[in-house]
Amino acid sequence: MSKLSTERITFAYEDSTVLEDLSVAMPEGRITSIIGPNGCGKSTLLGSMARLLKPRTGSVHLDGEVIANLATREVAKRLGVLPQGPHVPEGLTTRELVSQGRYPHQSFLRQWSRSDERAVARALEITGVDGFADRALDTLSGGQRQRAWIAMALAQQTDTLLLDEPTTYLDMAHQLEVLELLARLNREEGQTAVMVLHDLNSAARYSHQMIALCEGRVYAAGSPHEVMTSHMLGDVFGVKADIFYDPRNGSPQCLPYELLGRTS
Amino acid sequence: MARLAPIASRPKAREATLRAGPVSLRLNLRSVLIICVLSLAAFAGLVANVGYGEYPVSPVEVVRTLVGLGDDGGHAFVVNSLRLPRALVAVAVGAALGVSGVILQGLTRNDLAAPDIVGINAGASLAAVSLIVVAPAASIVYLQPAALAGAFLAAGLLYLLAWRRKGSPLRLVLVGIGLSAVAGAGATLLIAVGEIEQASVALVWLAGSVYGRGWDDFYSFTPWLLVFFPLALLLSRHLAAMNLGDNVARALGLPVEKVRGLLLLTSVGLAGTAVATAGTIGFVALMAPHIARHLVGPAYGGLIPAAAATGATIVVGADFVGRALFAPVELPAGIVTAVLGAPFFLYLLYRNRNG
Repeated sequence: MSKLSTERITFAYEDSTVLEDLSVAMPEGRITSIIGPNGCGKSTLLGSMARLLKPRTGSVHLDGEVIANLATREVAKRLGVLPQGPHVPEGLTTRELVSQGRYPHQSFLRQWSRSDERAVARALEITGVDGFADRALDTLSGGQRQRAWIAMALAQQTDTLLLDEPTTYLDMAHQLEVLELLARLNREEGQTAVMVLHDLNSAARYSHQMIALCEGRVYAAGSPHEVMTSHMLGDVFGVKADIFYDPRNGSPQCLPYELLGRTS
Repeated sequence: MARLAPIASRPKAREATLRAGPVSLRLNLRSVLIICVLSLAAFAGLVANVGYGEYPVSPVEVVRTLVGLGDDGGHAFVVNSLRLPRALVAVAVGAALGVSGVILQGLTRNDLAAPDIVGINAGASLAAVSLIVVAPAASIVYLQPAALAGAFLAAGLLYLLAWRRKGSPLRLVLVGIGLSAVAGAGATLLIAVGEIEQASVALVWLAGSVYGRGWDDFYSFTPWLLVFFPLALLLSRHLAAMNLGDNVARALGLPVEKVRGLLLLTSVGLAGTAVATAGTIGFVALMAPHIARHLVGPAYGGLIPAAAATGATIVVGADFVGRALFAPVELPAGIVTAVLGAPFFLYLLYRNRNG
């Protein structure tokens, strides 16, 4: 069953169409990665599903309901979103950031209930950021900070997490740190996750479903084995690449060696 | 971004959680303590101001008279009728400016955005000067709405010229300084062509002073405060979420446009009424939020009251210094805050350039 799906959405900025007649479904309890070259509409698709952007036509469905008809706060209780490169207020501590995840569950009179306290403690612990909960975010490493943001989204206690390039600007170890965390959340808590990723090999290794976008359309969607093919890499990214299979888990891994259609 | 040296790590906040049925509140005890100390400082400034003058009254006597405990020396008239309203206006104006600044800085995510830096105060004073010079017969009651209208007009222009296009923090400041200059020139022009009597009233008022403020000034100011202060506190939860960026705030379920409008209304409203009451007392709305943030951290629940208390302390202190420094000649409080605030602003600009 799909938690979140789009039905024939079209999105355009002024004259240029970014998404065209796009229908995709995010299966419940699975990790989905959206891949594609720069400007193919990955982040726009994620933003539309997160209700941060409003598609021109078509609709996004969350738990069988049209997301545009749901109250903002209701959406925030079901969908956690981590935008790309979020702004870090100076001096804000990890604990204060993670506590902000409780915002949709709070009101002026209900500012800090027991369930808020429990959810924040749990989010800090699961993501392993409790060791620096009282340090300012701007003093943390990139990987620690990204985990703190994920902890904020987890404190929101939503069934689904949407993440826009959660590993960009992180070094290898920190990328692994973030992806392993998402894999563990999925395995142990059944967390549904949808992310935009630039690193195809990580996408193939960590997701159940991959969606390859090309010029605002779905080029291919399915398991990593179905999507990660030398055909797709040629058509979507314009590169010639060999596909290997990871001896540890059998996931397809690509090694590009030449640009297509260029002689030099 | 330019801020006072951020405190990299704060000890785990000692908190008190109050829960009763569906109601739950969280208090950071350190912030509560700091806000109490700041409020005491503002109160001490108020007592000093009331006691100081040609007819000195000892602090103990001031407090006794204020709480209505006897009146040994017969100074109730001096205290209650002459000096108290002025000191209260100073406290209230400072608090309004502090809260206005902290909201505007949070809203624009710009440390340099204070209503006086970005031209909102200048808009309010131009409107007020126009009223004083053009319609001298008009009642003082109209000064508040006129200044408010001027403040909102300036905010609207600023939004159109700088903010909407998401420019750099410096762009907002530069456009604001330009707006201030234009509004200032307009005010000067009005004073130059106006009748000498009205012009001198307008000039004193422009310098930013609580000189000669009485109970009627205080009472025409307080209703606005009673609207905007609670609104600011109600909105503090949303301001904290908004500070994480529009997209994160939206993802957390915050109706961003609506809340931004309310926050802007509150900030501009507080600045406009403060200017209507005491003229342009500059740099308070810039300094108070920075000092408060340094003391209680960036969580808005504590930050808004702390900025209010800091602003109150600054203005009441500046008024005292202005009265005492060259007595019997009085310096307007606005001159004192400018002497303090201008270097502070330059320091922030310098840090911003290098940060």
